[in-house]
Amino acid sequence: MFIKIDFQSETPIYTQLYNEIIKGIAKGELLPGEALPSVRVFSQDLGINMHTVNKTYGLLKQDNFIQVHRQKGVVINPDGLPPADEVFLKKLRENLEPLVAESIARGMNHEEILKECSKVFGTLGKKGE
Amino acid sequence: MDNNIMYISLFAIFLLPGVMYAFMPYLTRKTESFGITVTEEIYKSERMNKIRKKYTLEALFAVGITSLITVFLFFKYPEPLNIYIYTVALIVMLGILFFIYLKYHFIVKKLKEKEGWTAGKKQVVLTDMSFRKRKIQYSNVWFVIPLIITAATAYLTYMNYDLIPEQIAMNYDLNGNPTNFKDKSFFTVFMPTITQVLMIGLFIFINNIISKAKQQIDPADPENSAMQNEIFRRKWSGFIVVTGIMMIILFSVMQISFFIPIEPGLLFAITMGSTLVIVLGAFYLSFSLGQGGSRIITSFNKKGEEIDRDNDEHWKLGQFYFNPEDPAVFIEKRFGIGWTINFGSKKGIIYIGILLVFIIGSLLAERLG
Repeated sequence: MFIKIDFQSETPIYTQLYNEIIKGIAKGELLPGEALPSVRVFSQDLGINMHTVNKTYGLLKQDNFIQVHRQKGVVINPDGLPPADEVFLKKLRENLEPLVAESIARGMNHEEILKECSKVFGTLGKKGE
Repeated sequence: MDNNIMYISLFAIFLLPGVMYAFMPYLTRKTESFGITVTEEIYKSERMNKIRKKYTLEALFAVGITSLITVFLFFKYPEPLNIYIYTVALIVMLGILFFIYLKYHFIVKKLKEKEGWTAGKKQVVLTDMSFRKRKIQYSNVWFVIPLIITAATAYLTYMNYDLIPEQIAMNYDLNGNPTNFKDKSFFTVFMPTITQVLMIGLFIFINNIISKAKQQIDPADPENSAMQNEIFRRKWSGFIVVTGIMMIILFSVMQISFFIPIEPGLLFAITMGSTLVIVLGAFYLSFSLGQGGSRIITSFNKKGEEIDRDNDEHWKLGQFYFNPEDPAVFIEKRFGIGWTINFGSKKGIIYIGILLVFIIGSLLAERLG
């Protein structure tokens, strides 16, 4: 699967990398147990600092999306991915709120907002459908 | 007959790199022109077509003139002077070609600055996460073959040590007459073995560069671009394996000739012939694959307005990559086929140092031996 980094974006690179990997998991392009590139190889291919990749891997590990083994390297969590628990749902609502608020302010109704949401669902393919 | 092979080889080895350099603008990626990042539309524009044609004609003219002068001088002067002339002429020709390149590099650079070709485009970097799981390299296990040949030759040499004359011919002139003798010693007799082991090491190192070099994927067509690059790397890796085996056999033949006399003329023809085959192979791969696999035909699937990151500022004169911020050590050349070093990385500098020690060491060893 391809990872895309936009160097002109205001979103920090480690966040972009985090989002891209989660997207790969959502699309089913990255499967549980699948190996990810080592920090060194990944940073060389992307032309970014090793610390940046380290930071992303650190966050993914903290959120239980990946495991870091000494021998196998970095793998997508083979024991299954973290469920949408109460803590996550709270975070989801918090992140959605400003976006929904802006949509309403721009005159969109409930149905239109849901329609956009479905479209995003669609682009994330397989598992999202 | 042997002489003909030799002259043809000498001439081809002189001509082929020049011709390849003259056609280089047609072999690079379509997102680069004379060491400058461009968009594919710009690359394919009528104006760039004309610039490329002009460059190629000028370069071919330079190659032609230097070749003619070299041939003339080569037959006018006696040996070994003409061999030195040949070598210097080759370097001079490549120097002239570099200056012609530079002229066009600056022309394209100015045009880009004036018209801002990449200014409005979104620049991204794309990476295939599973790229290294693809078949991008022939395994280093292949180098067991030359290693066995080296060991077998060394063993044969050891068993026949007494047959080797007290004086060993080390250099020959173009007619196959020995010009330089050395006293028989373990060091002179096993010099080819040492060279072979070092060479196998070097070939393994190059093979590793091929698999480890930084990815470069065109965001406009990631799938095809990754596939082209996979084929490009795998074929060149195969070329390195085959070249490695050929070179090792060559040195084995040389060593065996110490105790089984081989006509020097034949020996020289074999040497030049194999070199010619290797150069021709490189020539063929360069033209059929293009840099990064850009000439491999794929289903046309261009989409999106995104382009690869424009890092012209790090490419000094369009050919020397200097970027301390980039952790990559080996990257694709811009105006050329293959890979180059990031001169801004500490590791890169260390590798260059090791290579220099290698070269100087082998030259010294030859003198001492």
